[in-house]
Amino acid sequence: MLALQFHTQLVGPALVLGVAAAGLYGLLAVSLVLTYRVSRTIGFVHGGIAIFAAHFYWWLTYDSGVRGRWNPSAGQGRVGQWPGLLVVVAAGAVIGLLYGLTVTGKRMGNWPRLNLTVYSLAWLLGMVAVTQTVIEPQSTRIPSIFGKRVYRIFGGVITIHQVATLLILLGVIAVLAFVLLRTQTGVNIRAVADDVEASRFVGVPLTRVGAGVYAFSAGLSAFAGALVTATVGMLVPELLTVFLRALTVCVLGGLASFSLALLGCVLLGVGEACLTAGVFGPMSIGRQEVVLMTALFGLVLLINRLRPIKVLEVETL
Amino acid sequence: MTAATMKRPAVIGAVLAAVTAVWLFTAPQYWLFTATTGLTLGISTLGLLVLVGWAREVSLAQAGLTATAIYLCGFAMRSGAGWHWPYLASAAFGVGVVVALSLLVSLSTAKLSGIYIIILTLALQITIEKTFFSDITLVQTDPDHTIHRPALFGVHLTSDRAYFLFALAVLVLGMVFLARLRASRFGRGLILAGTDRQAAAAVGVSPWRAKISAFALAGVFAGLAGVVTAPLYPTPPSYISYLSINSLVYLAIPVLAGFRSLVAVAVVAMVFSVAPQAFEHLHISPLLLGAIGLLSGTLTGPTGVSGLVLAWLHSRRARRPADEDRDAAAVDLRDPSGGDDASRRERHARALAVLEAYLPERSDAREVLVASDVSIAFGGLQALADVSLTVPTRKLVGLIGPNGAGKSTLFDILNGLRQPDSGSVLLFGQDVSQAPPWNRAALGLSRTFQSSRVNLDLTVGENLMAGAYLMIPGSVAEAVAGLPRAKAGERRAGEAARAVAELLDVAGDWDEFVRNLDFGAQRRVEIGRSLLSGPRLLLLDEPAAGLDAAEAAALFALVRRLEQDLGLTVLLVEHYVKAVLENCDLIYVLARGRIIAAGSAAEIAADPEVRAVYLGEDYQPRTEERVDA
Repeated sequence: MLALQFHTQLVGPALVLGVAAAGLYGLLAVSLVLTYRVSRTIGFVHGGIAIFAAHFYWWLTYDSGVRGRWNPSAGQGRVGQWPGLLVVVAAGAVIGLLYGLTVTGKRMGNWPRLNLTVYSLAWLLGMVAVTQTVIEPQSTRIPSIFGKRVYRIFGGVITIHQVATLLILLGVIAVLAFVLLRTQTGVNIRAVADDVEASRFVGVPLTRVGAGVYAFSAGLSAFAGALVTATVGMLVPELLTVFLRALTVCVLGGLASFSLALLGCVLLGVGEACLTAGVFGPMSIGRQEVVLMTALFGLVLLINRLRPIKVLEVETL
Repeated sequence: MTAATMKRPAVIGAVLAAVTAVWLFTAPQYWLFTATTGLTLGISTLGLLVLVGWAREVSLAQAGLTATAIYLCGFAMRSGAGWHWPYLASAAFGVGVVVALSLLVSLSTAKLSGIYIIILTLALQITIEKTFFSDITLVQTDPDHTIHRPALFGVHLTSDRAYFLFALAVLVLGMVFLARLRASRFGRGLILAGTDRQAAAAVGVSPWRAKISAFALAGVFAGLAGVVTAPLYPTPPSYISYLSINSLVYLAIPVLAGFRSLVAVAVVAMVFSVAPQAFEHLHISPLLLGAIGLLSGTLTGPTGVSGLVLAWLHSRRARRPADEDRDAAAVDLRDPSGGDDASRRERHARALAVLEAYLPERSDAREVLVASDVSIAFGGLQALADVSLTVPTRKLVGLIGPNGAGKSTLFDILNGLRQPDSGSVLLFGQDVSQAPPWNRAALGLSRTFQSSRVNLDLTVGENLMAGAYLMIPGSVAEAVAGLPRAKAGERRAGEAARAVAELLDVAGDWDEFVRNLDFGAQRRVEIGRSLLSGPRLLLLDEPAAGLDAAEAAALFALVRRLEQDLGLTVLLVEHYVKAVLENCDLIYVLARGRIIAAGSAAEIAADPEVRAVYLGEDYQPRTEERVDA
């Protein structure tokens, strides 16, 4: 099935491409890690927000709407790309806030994790359904907001879009690290992540912290959704694949570590770039997926084997 | 049950069958076809019901797995590029591959938390999309080599009507199989493992095996749905309906229907298939339907819409005169001052006799449990340090100590839920230090927990019977087919469960959902579940917590009787010191992770260190007032 080839001359470009591609999954991965830390559930809602954001961003900035005050040059979208991006991020944050208010409220705060996960999946499906009902899905890739410039590093050609996304990701992680470690908000978030009940007793405003984290991370997901349209377009299966990749990179750190998620992004990006660039010989998309899937299974098996089971947990999720 | 109520389901069934028959012979071909797709959706989502409703796991690959079976079965059946295999061989191939894929996911994540399984199922779905869905030989629509509907056992399934009946038969058989499975020890074990893995392990159910079985079953049903769908179309259907987002629509069906009713799953699946066609002018998106289903199902709780209907029926039934009599009897039973004392004593004696016959041979070993030098630390906190403890046979042993002393941690280690950093545990003479809790349960160790750990959405009877997993013999096939060995085991366990309910004063609430019971009754149900697992050594973690003084006294009296009359060895943790001192033959005192004293009640009460750290200097024991006197 796999030809045993190894093209060393392609390793350099693949590494560059892989590191550059890490930003694509990284922003979504940060959102997932952030909300997992406060809720111990996978925030599938972020997938929905990213898909909604991709469509909404396309509708705002690329769809053949009226010529607006803010888009004097493009002449196609309803608004320009930067205002459009701002609106999309704000809309994502509002959705995240609404979601956060419901899941951290009195009624759902003590729900089992399975129910919260299914609730999150319901939001994902709902947003995809509403988005697809209102906006016709397109395979169009939207031009990057950062321009068309490209760079050649070690034989690999990377775009300004990839560089900017990666820099933004690093910036977001640095800011989050500062907030989490050096501010009262960060202390509150970490307290909630450690023990919800205990933090409630010591006066941490659970709803405010939870909803705030969801709003911030949803804004980040919307941002990622808008940016990803320049790379993969806006077809739901493709966007869901990106979301899956983001989830996958979080596995490395058990969905709880930004740094391990970042490492996962780089590893996955490099792995994917190696397969796409043909380091191991030419390979169909299906086979690439099987190889990546096998690697993921291998990683999970390794975690399964290495992680000492000190105690049998009550809940499955 | 009266003759009228016995007849009612038969009448409803007959009416439904008649309506279906009339519809079948009058419906247009188009609707027959749509309804058949609804039936196949029902088959696939029955598998998800097992996974989500019973095992409480989430799979995001059910649509992809169903499609895999469709394409593989179709490919195997087709001439031309395909293999031109007979239908049954093609079907076995399709189902086999799907089950293998399901097992691959579940085996690789067996010991990990559910988040990994969700991610892996989504990964599996996307891999299926990028491999099978993009393989032209599988999904191509070659008009020269179409798939022909098969003939099975001499019956040709060529017409849409015949094929509808075939799909209906598979669905009904699947439902019967699952209904039988759910009523067996395997189904109850699966549900218990899904609700509470620790509680399941404590009565002998391996939660890992339960998870793997649930995935295998979900795979079987996805595969069956696929192989029933494959010959429905002359050429492979479009994969658009089987993409990852559609797996969420599949998930919505059992979530909305609820885990208590198989029929509800089939009905909701049919609605999901038919509604977008029936109300085409409204442009109902299946995705939107799925989203509403998921949201409504989540908000109505694990029992879903069917749970609401069943609860309503239950409340109606509870108002009937016969049940009022039963409730009155139950009140008598709970009220020590009411009812006929002699008849109650007689009932209890009978119940004890039934339980004695049910429980396995008690141990003849002098010491049933020996823990040696057990230590465990959580980070910098040394929770237990070189703790050694011996439980002699047929004794009531108490373990007391201040909060945070490490009592429950020690219980977890004795029970096998937690692995110590060092030390060993001998159970009935066997070294079980590395054995998982379900293997210790098989040796005769059962336990209860500090907080009530019963399934609130099941009835008292169902909760009690869940404990009997190890005591009912027979394989899955025997249980589902109702073969004599399994049937006799079920009957014996049922009698023992009734006896335990009698002893624990919950017999009157046998059909009541545990959610509706008070806390004390919930605790008693949990103890009953442990008794049903056939213990030779019972660990009770704060059994009197949350009970009032009278209830606690009654509970201790019962525990004493279990020990004296049935020869059951009991080790209990309790903060109700008076009851422990008055009832226990041997008492250990644990403080700051160390055993600071061991001995009789008098010795413990007189121990200066125990008085200093736990009882208080002013403590005055009154051991002459035995609670069970």
